[in-house]
Amino acid sequence: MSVQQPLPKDPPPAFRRLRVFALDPVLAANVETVAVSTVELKIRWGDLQGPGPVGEYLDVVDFDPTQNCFYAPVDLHQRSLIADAGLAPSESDPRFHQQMVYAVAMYTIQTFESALGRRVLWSERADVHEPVERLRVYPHALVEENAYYDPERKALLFGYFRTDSSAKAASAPGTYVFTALSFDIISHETTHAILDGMHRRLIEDTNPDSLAFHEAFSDIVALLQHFSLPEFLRFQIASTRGALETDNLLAKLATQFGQGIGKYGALRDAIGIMEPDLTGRYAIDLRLPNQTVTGEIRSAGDTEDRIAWRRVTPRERNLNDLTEAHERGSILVSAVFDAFLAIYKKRTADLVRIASDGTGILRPGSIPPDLVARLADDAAMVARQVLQMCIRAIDYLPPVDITFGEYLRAIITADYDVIRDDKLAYRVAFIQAFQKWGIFPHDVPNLGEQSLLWQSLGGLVDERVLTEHLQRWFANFDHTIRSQMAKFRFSMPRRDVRTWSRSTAYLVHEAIEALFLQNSGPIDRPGLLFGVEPTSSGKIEVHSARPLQRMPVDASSRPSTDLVIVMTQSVWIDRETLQEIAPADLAQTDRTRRFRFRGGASIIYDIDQGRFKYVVRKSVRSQSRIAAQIDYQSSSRRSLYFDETPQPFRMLHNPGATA
Amino acid sequence: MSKIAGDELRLPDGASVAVRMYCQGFGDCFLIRGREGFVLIDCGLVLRAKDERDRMLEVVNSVRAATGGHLSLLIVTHEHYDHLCGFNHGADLWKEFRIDRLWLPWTEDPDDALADKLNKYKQQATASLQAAFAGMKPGLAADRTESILGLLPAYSVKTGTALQTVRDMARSQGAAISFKRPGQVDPVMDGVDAIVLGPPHDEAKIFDLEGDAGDTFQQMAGAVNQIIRASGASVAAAGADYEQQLRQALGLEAAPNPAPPFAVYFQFNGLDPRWEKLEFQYQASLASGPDAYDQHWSMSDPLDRELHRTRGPGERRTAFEKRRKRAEELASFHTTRTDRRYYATENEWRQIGGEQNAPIERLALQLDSFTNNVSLALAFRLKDGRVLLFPGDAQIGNWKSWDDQPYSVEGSILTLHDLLTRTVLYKVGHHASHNGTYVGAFNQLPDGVICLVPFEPVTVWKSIPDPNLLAALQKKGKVCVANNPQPGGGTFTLGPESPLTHRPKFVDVYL
Repeated sequence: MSVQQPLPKDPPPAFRRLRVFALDPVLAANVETVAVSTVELKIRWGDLQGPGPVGEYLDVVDFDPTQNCFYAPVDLHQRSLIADAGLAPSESDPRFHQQMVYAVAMYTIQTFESALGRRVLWSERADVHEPVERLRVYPHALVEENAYYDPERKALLFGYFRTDSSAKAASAPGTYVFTALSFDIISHETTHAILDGMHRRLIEDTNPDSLAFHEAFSDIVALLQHFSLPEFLRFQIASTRGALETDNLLAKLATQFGQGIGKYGALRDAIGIMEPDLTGRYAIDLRLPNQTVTGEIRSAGDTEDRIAWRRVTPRERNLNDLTEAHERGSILVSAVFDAFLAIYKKRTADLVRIASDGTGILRPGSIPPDLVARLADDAAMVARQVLQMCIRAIDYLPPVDITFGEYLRAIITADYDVIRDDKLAYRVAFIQAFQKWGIFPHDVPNLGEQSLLWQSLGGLVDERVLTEHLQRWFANFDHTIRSQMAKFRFSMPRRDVRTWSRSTAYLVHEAIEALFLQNSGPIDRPGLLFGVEPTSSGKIEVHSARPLQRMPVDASSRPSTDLVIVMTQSVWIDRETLQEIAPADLAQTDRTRRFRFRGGASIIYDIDQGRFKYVVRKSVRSQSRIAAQIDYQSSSRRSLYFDETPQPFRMLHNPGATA
Repeated sequence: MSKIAGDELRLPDGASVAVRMYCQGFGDCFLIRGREGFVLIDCGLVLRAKDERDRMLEVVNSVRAATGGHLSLLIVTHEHYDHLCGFNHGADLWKEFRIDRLWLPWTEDPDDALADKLNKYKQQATASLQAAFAGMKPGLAADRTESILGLLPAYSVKTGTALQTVRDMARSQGAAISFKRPGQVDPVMDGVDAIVLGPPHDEAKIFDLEGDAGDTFQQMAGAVNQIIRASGASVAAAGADYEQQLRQALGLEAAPNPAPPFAVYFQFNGLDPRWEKLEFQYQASLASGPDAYDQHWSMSDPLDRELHRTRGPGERRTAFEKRRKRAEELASFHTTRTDRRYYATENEWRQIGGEQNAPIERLALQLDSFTNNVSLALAFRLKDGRVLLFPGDAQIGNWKSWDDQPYSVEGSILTLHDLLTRTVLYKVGHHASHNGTYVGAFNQLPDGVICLVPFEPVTVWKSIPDPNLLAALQKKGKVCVANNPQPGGGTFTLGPESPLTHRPKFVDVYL
């Protein structure tokens, strides 16, 4: 008699594989690239909760207000779809559009979570102070060449439009182009939403870099995510013979589709430009009929088929010459892309030497498939690492009024915390690339790594001179944080993480209030340690307090648990003060109103050691910053009094918003 | 003396003319006094300004006091509320005026074929905008569209009657109405000639609102031109787009009637994208049996066709069951009910829909700029050769056409350059918007030119004034802005304070 064995209970799969367009549908329409036109993304299996798709992070609602209808939602739990890595890429099936926005947005979220070591949370609703569980995604929200993150509705709105017969269209005239099918655009917009969840006040346009940063950072994420897909890179490396900086399909296509969409064009133009290839050496021509090339160069006759992409060099464009947000942003993207290329070249130089009998010069013709595979894997790895460096730096940014130079400092400090010994010269590559493009902080003595690191609180005040009261405050603060941490588990559901974060933020807020009451002794106004003043001068907002675990890669230190705190304060600068600081600019401004000004600090608190590891401050009392901000805002087209434009991204992205 | 008490516009000894800018706000009203009489250019204020009517009445009363109710020439530059509404608000006061002549741009000439064509464009585009506006959700786009529509005569009774008031008034007083064309030179009074610079009698130029790179003061402001240029399309193409939109709006050109984006997919699957509306209708009737359903059958549905063809009651029932089964399938296909999530009360704050307003708003903006571009642009030349420049709200295409013709003044031929280099007073175009002053012409103005800016901040036009232009004006000349007039080194004489705006009622300049 045989006994029926009970079936073993299998663990659920780790990933759900979903097919998406590797770039956008243009690739699938070309014989040369059709083979690499789609990729499979691995999305965490447990995320999906229902048709829509609705997941833990995202809520895709396919309502099309123009057609006044809902498109039927895709059910990714259907057996056939599970078996087949989702729906096959298709422009004509709205359910595939839902699948693609879901997959790419989740992929971006996963990238952030693995780089940051914690869960992504969306920003709370500013008007009612309520948390937002899921980001809404509308794949067909408007008929417009536009897609944007709407910070009021906490939603991504993707547009679609019919191409006209003019030459700028990237697809055949009269067909529909969907921004929801562009890998780039989805990850770009998702990044806006994630960044808003981390640093709510970074959106404000207070200096030439601040608005540009949001854009440029989103573009960096979109660009490097492409380069971390090895399947695609293999094709790319085979066709460029390993030289990613030359004729580059990824960057090149981004340029082309960007032209169709308008908004992405300006940024991508800075990385590279298309121009007639006079050497006759060009890899692939992906242009469709009727398509023209950027800028003044209009190909004609003989040169029409010979268009090559080439990188823009720092000599052609430099940060110091540019004031417009898109253009400045493009410099930041270029600098990061340069750092990526430098690291990639350094890491693969030995491979090329091995494959070329030590000469370093590859023989003409196709390069061997093994070498392609190795180069592609290395490039993908480097892209992932560079992207992680860029994302980790977000925790080290000042909470308001960011400049590109400060971003460099954040990148260096964040990486220093993970890898003490820069053996592979990643940080050097970043410093060098940023310097080349004219990006550097102005308040450091030199561009050495040690000078670029942010300072700890110990570096800012001598703890020995602290009064007893203040020392007691530090002890109390530490106690508060520790007892909060006792309630925290990294495995907690996202909802609980949010609740925990809110209550911790509240306690931090209380602690800061208590700090103002301290008899401070040698320190005149102790709040200014964190860039803020007693609340009578303006409301203090503790935006988030999030723990994260850091596992140093090189065992240089023990794993540590840090608490990342972001807080800001907005104060009103009255006219008398303004008169002292910037009398010249006052003539143009309205007499009756005051000037709003923000400061604050991003704090990395080392919980294990109980110390303020880094305090990145922007003081509300900084006269030079007030003067610079007035100067900037009265000379730019921005309102001097932050009208908190409800759709900052829409305005920046929308080609029609003139007035 | 930098302050005056009454409304009198003095003409001091030694001065050829006196020019007064009324400071009512975002709107033009300029009074010029020569040795022999008064010229008034426009009389308006932007729609929905605070105390709009009272402010305008104050202006009209002041004009009457200053001129004794007699104007030797009245000029209306273009048909916009912020240049006209004073004639409507002050209609009763205007009846007591005596006006010798009225000048309008040629675009108001009923006998001009191109004017007729442009007016048709305008009317029908306005009508279609108005229809579109009715469906707009509230928001900034709707506000702005409304305020633009409010400027247009076909929409707003207000402006329509205002221009009519002006014409009727002129006609009843026996004033000569003339429609001015570029190149004309007419004596206004002894010692003052008026030279007509624009609007150009050229369709393409009227549709050129932004010019080429470097023509406006907007430097890479992230707005339309920069992106259009970045994407390699010319600005002319944008103009053509606009014209095409207008043509389609008026039905002169077949508007593409695009299939909905997923038509093929739905057809292929036997679905209708508007299932929400249709399928519910079907289901209600399906529940009540084949006969009730018969009224709803659709020729495009194969099962419906089959049902319709059936004859015998048994066959009919089978076909009907088949149809009903499919309706159920369809319903379950949609039962995941995204719509419930969307319409749920707690989710109302994230509903969308206002976004489709953007193209309407854009068309409205273009229409607005187009109306500005048909402004009557004038240069007043004094006997000694000095020039006062009054471009109305002309946009770049209008400005750029001024060099198309020479100007014959008192027997000598003058070029635009001659006029610009002798300019002593410039009424800053279009309330100092980025494309109301053409860089090429501005650069020819001499240093020290007096610049009068009829402006105060308005919520719907946040980009006005253009800061680059303001900076350039301040660098070049002596600037007086209506919302904050300063005495400015004896050049500007301030009028008495207005109780409505709490600033001087007007600013006088003696030249």
